[in-house]
Amino acid sequence: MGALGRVFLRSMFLQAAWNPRGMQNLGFADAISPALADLYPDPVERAKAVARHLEFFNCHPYLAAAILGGAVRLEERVANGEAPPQIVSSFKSALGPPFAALGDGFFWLALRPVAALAAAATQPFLGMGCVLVFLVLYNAVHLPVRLWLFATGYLRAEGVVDAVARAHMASGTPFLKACGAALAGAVAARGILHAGIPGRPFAALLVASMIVLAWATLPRLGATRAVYIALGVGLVVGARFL
Amino acid sequence: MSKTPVGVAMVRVDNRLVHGQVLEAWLPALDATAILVADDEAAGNVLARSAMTLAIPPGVKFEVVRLQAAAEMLRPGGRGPQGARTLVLLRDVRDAVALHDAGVPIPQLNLGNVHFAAGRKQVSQSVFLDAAELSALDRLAQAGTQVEVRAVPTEAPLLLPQLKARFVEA
Amino acid sequence: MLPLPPGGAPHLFVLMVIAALIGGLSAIERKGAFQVMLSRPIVLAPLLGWAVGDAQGGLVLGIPLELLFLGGVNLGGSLPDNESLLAGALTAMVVPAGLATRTGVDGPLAALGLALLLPLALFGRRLDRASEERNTQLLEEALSRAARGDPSAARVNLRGLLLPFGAAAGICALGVLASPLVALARLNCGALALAALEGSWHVVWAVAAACAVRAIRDSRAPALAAICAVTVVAITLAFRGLR
Repeated sequence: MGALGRVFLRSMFLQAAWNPRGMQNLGFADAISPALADLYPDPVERAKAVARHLEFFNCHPYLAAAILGGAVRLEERVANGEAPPQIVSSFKSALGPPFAALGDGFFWLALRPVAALAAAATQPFLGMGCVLVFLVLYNAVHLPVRLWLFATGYLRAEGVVDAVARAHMASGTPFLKACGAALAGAVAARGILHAGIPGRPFAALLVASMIVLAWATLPRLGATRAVYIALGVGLVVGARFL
Repeated sequence: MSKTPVGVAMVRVDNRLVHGQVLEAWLPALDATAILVADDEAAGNVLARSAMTLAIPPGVKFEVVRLQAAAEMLRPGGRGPQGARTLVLLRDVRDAVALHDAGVPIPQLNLGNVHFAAGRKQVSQSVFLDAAELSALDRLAQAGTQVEVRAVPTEAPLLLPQLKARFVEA
Repeated sequence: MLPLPPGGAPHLFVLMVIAALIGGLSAIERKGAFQVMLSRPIVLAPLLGWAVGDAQGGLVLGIPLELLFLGGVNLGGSLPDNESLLAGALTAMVVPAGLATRTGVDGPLAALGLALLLPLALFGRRLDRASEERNTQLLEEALSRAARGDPSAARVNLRGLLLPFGAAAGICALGVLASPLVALARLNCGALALAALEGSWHVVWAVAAACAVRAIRDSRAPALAAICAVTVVAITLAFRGLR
């Protein structure tokens, strides 16, 4: 149990030495090391097991917890002579990429922007409290899910795929994204109102049209150029009218 | 110049097959409606197949077939892929060559991720090639395939001459 | 004489150390450790702002920065612009400047700072790439140690955190060091320049809102955002009109 806890803790450093050749391999090997220490008392055997885990690995850093848990369970089978070492390797390479896609889609492209937008939209009412809105919304999902994935991976090994399928992680994504879009609209409204507040309808209209213009040109301009153009446009109109 | 097989939006070589770059970046950029994984190993691995299926977004058609079956499907006169705009995923450069040699026209070949292995040199952040792979790509290029390295659509593509130059440098 | 925050030059040095520490830790948290989102601009800017003397000023910077980089995402080997480095350095520079000018972080100061430091986001991405390339050496060391039978070979993993920490710490400390110059520029702005910079900051906000809508990768997003924006503006105007 102690070893499992340490494996989970070290999984938090999965990408500490992310490298183009092996990607998360160093982090994975480091994270699973405490479990290998229990399973292979002989240092030479243990070093061999660590070396096996220095093979290429990449996944989403949270979803990787499921694979790490599963790998610990499979290593127990290998150490008991119930299975060849290749099963660990093929388990990792089979689950890594699709689980990465799940994590990217849900955490990076839905939960994180939505939590941040909720904070930005509530800032006029909550002030500094909006930072907590972001951190709590995000991590109240992130941390339990990460722990659940690790535990389920360890308990079910290959069965973790079914467990994740039944959790329907991706099914909430369209709803989250709809919330995100609405919140982005509210944030845009805030920018418009803020510019127009002391009886400056022209400034409000200007900001509103800049939002639409920026939205239309962003894919071609990229954010950096768009911001510099915005700074320039603002300088000119700001000096004249505001 | 060969024509794209009917229904194929892009052919991509990616050691990792189905992952975030493919689903979150390429699928929307190509407006693709289906994914065809042509790979013997994945076709024979139940766990890999079910994990991939789990990640595919609803509404996107998904098939995993052996390379030979894919060649028959995509050859002129074959039954064609499931979707009207299908992203074809291959694991290795040699699979692209095999498809081409089996008569499948590949006007454009995207290299996304080819991992490090003994003998391979780094030609981009995520693509490592060996000399044999580079000359195979050269052969495809001479047959009319436009070869590019590009992990995600927003990146600037690296073309074959640049790959060769980087290979020599590395 | 350069305008300095209360406490003068010795205090500026203390602020440099604080900014270096928090900026460096955020660089680690961003990818290498935990990833509980403490390094996102919306958290980092007010946190670092608080540590150097003005949390509210940090928040003024953090929200638009968060929105500008909302859609940036690390997919496999493809890296996004480094929003944390920009947020850290900008806060480290602008918040002490606001204390020195006694204006706090206002629109003109924020616009000035952003215009100066925006390229840091791109530079940060290059830096990330370089430090990842360098991690390959750690991998080679681990491989050779494992081949020699060393069971703790993978412990080199944590050494990958040193370079991102050092680079971000240095840049954030430099941000504090540059703050008196920015404060000086702000103090020398006439009424026209202030109005112009204030206008710039509003338009930056507009671009940030547009980036936020773009960040939601969904075909319904633009329509939903537009409906919601119009509704919020209409309701607010209705209430204000009634009062």
